[in-house]
Amino acid sequence: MTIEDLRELAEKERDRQSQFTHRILYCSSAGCVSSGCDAVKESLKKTLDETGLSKKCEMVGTGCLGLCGEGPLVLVLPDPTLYQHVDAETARRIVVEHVAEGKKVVDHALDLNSPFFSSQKKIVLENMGRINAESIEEYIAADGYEALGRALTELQPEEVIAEIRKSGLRGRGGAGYPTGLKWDIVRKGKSDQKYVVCNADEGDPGAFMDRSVLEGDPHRVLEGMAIAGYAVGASQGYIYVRAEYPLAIDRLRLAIKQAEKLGLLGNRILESQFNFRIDLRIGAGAFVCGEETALLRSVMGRRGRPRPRPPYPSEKGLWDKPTLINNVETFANICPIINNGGEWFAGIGTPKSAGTKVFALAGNIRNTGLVEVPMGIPLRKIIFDIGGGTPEGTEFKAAQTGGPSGGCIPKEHLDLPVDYEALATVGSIMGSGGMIVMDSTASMVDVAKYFMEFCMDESCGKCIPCRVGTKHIYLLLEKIKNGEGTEEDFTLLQELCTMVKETSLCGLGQSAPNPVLSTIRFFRDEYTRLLKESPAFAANGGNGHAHAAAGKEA
Amino acid sequence: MTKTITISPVTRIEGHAKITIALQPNGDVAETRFHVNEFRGFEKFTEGRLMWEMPGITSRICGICPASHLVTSAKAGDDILAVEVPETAEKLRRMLTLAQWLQSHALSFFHLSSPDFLLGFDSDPATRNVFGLIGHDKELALKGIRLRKFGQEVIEILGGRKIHTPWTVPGGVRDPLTAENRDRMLAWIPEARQTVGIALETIKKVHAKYKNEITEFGNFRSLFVGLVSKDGALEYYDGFLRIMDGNGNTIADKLDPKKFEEYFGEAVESWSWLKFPYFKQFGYPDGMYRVGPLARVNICDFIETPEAEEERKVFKKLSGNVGVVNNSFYYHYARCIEMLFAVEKIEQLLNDPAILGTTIRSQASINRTEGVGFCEAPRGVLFHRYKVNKDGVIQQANLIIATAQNNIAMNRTVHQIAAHFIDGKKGKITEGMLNRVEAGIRCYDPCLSCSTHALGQMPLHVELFDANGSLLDSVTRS
Amino acid sequence: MAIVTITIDGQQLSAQDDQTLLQVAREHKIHIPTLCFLEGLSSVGACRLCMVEVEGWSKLATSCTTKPAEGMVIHTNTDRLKKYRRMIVELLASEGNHQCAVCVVNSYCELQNLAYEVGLDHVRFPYLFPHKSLDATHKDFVMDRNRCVLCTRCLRVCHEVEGAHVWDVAGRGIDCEIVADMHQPWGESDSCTSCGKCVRVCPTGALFEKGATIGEMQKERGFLKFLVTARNKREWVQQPEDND
Repeated sequence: MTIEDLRELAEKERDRQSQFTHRILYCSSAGCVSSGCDAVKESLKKTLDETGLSKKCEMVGTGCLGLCGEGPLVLVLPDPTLYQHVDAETARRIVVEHVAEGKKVVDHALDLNSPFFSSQKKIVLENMGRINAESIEEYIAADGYEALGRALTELQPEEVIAEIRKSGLRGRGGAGYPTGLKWDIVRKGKSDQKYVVCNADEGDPGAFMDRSVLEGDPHRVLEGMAIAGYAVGASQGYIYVRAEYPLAIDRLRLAIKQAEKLGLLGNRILESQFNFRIDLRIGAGAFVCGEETALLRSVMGRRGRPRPRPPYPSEKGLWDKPTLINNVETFANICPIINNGGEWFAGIGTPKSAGTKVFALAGNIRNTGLVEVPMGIPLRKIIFDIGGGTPEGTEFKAAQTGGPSGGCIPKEHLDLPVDYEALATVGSIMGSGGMIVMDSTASMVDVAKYFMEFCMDESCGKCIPCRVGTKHIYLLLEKIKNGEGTEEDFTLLQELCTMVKETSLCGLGQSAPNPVLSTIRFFRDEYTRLLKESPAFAANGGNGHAHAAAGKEA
Repeated sequence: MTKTITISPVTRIEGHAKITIALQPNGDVAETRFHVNEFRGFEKFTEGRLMWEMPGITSRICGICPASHLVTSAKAGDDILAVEVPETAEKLRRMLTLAQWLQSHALSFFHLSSPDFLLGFDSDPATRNVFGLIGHDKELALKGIRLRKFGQEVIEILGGRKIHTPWTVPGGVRDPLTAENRDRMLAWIPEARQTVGIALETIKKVHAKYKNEITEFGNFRSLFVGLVSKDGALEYYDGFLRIMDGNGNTIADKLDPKKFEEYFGEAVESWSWLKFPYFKQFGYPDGMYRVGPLARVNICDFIETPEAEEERKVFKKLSGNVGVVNNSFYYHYARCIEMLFAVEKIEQLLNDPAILGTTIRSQASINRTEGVGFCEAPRGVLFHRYKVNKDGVIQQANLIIATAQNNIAMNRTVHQIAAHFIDGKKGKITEGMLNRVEAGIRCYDPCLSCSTHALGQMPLHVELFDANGSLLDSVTRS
Repeated sequence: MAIVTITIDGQQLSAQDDQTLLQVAREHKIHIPTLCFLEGLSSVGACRLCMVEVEGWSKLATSCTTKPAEGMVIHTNTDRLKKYRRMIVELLASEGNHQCAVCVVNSYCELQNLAYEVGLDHVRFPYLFPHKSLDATHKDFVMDRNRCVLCTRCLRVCHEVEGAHVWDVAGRGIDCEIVADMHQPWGESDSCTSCGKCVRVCPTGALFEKGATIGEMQKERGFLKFLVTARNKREWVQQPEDND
């Protein structure tokens, strides 16, 4: 297939779609699957068959529609109407009332002009709710593989990289390393063989951005990887995806098969000289394998433990060959950059943090789900406008970003713009996009303890500070929480946190103390009032479990 | 109304214990108990360790007689390896055992017990200790300290360290003795002989002075148990078990020490962590027996060194027409005789050319899954029994300690002393009375660290209880 | 390979850029404590004791894996480093069941020496007293996991020098332990050649010869450098053994 064939295929698919008066897109991502979208699907199909509307109206399983907390969600096109809490009966009504009679099912309809939708800027998630997640034709009809085709036919590898550099795209895995620069290093590496690896080992508690992208728009990631392969001179790609994402794995497998069949992956892609294969590698449930050096070892079939850098994977990666490793969301940003130009992308967000960022909103917040916002948007806007604020009767206390590697941001920093540098100034990180909102009922000592327990369990055990340090941080937190801690313990806790942060081998250990350090920084009082020496402790009759009450006062 | 007097902890012994004296309403002593209230559990936590580590671990039970545990444990190891220990190694181990006697006996006699004899049972408790002794008779005190030092020095030279030397190992010993080190030890002998002579003179004067104490300090008939050599001589490292009754009759002889569990049972009382071993044939508590210096000197037919043998004959005369010395006060005398023997025998061993041999360690792998080691520790016969798996990992350990074997006798002794010296009717109990009760315990030089496998320090605490157990009065002495 | 000039603790030194900072420091008798590092084996940078400060770097660098670059200014013994090293040893002390008094390597132990070096007079963290196993199934050697510091020297020497790869790490985090083959008793390992290299490189009493008693297991590690050098230079290949 040539690029012309591709464009023809797109046209054909668009024609096919235009035959239908309505398209019903039901969310088929894991969130809605778990809230019962299978029953919705059955009911839609049955009703369409019964009413004889199946020729006029197409029903499609699509990617995440965003408002996961209100699922199952169903979108009806044209004249976009989004329905929430859809059950079998509502699904039937959508067909017989909306499709057949043009009467919206108002009691389930969502206001698409509400800030949750209007404040977002969708680039990565643009195909969510537009296409069938399991159809390559629909992806192609939505300009899919156009970017790869253009790169192969119109651009030299250096020009692709120049475009990425111009865009200002930075790694979406959390650390924010300039993507174009990384590509350039791999491109310049001298080797007979190079690799492209996609890090889909999303492990932060409460984070599901990558999963949603893989489930809803897998071709976007494959295409981004192929473009990367072309740019850096690699012929083999690996997607390292965690075994806990079975749906994403199924969709990726299907997508790879489809792309290979159409000659969009494999040998002589689009009849060019470029060959690129993608294989899946399934992770076995270790959080540390999200760390790039551990991930690469795991891809090679070895125990997933990190190693010191340098050398970086871009110099010595898989089997010591130059290896490009990027996150799912980073790859998902490549196509729009190639299609619209680096300058267009650079115009979104802030000068230092270009583009958008996908966040998974969770915790004590009204609108839980997946959102995409331009970089630099104030935290307040994400939490209160998009997220709708904390539930009735409670007050916002803190937002946790970056998962177990991040920190808690208190209300005095709500106006902080969300970009890499600003988050770092308050002791947190952008991270991969988890955002957990806590209201006044949350105990920050508990929050710190929860994340430390996670890091302790997930430490690979290679370096001493992380292996033993996280255990003792956890024990100290537990001691303090139980009202058995002393001033001395509190000092030791902080000393140990700093030491683990500065001496650990990889990002897991280096960032594991962040939740503790940031909660101490902003909520010190919640710790000190649990210490034996504190007057508050005595006032509570020496009961350390007073922290819940303490939390409410704060 | 019944009263109870508590002496806790008992002072100038090795370990942590208390004595309670219950008084009848008329003030007479109803019952006296020696409670050992410490517990360590070596037998449990050595499970899972290697047999080869056992000498090093079990010697940590005690800071006073580590070498006895070391030798016993290594012998249990020999048994598991099923090897014969090279001649030189056995002689070196024998020397180590004797050095341990000397060191421990000197401590017991000079540091712990002689303050009572030389300063008086009723003297000021603040100075009734080794420091008071230095003030009273500096030369004697210093000689005592130096005699102990000799014992320690032998241990240190052999093992490279004063205490907890891991030098004795399954199969033999780790390092040979050099001629230079042998000569260093030999140089001590004349002074050691002289000091032991002084000790013997001293104890004989004490006998004349404290006739009343002697008759009441554990004067009762009991069995005596200890090792004797093949030909009936005083033994300390090997040999057979001999059991003699309070009338001097040999009840059993040439018993295999490895089968000690067949002959002796262990009773348990709720009020003490220290078990109560007894001779099975006679039952509990009639199977009460005494071990240690008094038993050893009592049961042997002779002592192989000349001067000690002479002294043994003098000792035997104390028994009158019974044939054995039944009075526990004479533990001190027996201890002095053993010191004399130790010095003489160490000299003999040092002059034996075989002592400088360099074939000192038999190598073997695990050949038995069970092994027993035994020797005469300063306080009496000591047993270690280990069960191991095929790799030499300890599955079960049983340690039977000398002090424990004297437990029934010690209880009997404190009761006898209390009944004689404590008069509850007067309503006032003097410190001197209580000190005599403690001194009764000190005759046995008990090492409770060993016997419960524990360590401790002990100021004295006395409490008076009525029949309902309410505290009437208490006195603390630090 | 190029010659670069670097400064370590105020001393200006020449170094080859393919060396590590640790090698350069050792060549110039500048002491940097190590535990997982052993000359002749690959560096894993796991113990973090050899960390140094490099001026202008935001993070500390493990000297066993960092290569010198022109103009680098390095500090090996700052108060911060000393504090962290002490804490690392303190964490190790709390992690295992380290009873020096009854250990086969007492007074020959690298962990013990480190404890002296960093001045570890007490441990502020609670001892974890883990339940670790002792494997005495091998006919000549014993693995006592109570004393293991997970430096992986045994694993590396077996993989890299002996070529048997008997040892590996099982579990993760605080539950990590070194296991033989497919987590089976050492004595039942098919791959073990009983060469004893692992025993000799082990820094603590975790690996020792069966029959060794307290303080008796002195380990000779010079063999490794000899073996690796001879192999790298192919000294045995050039002169076949049976060719006089």
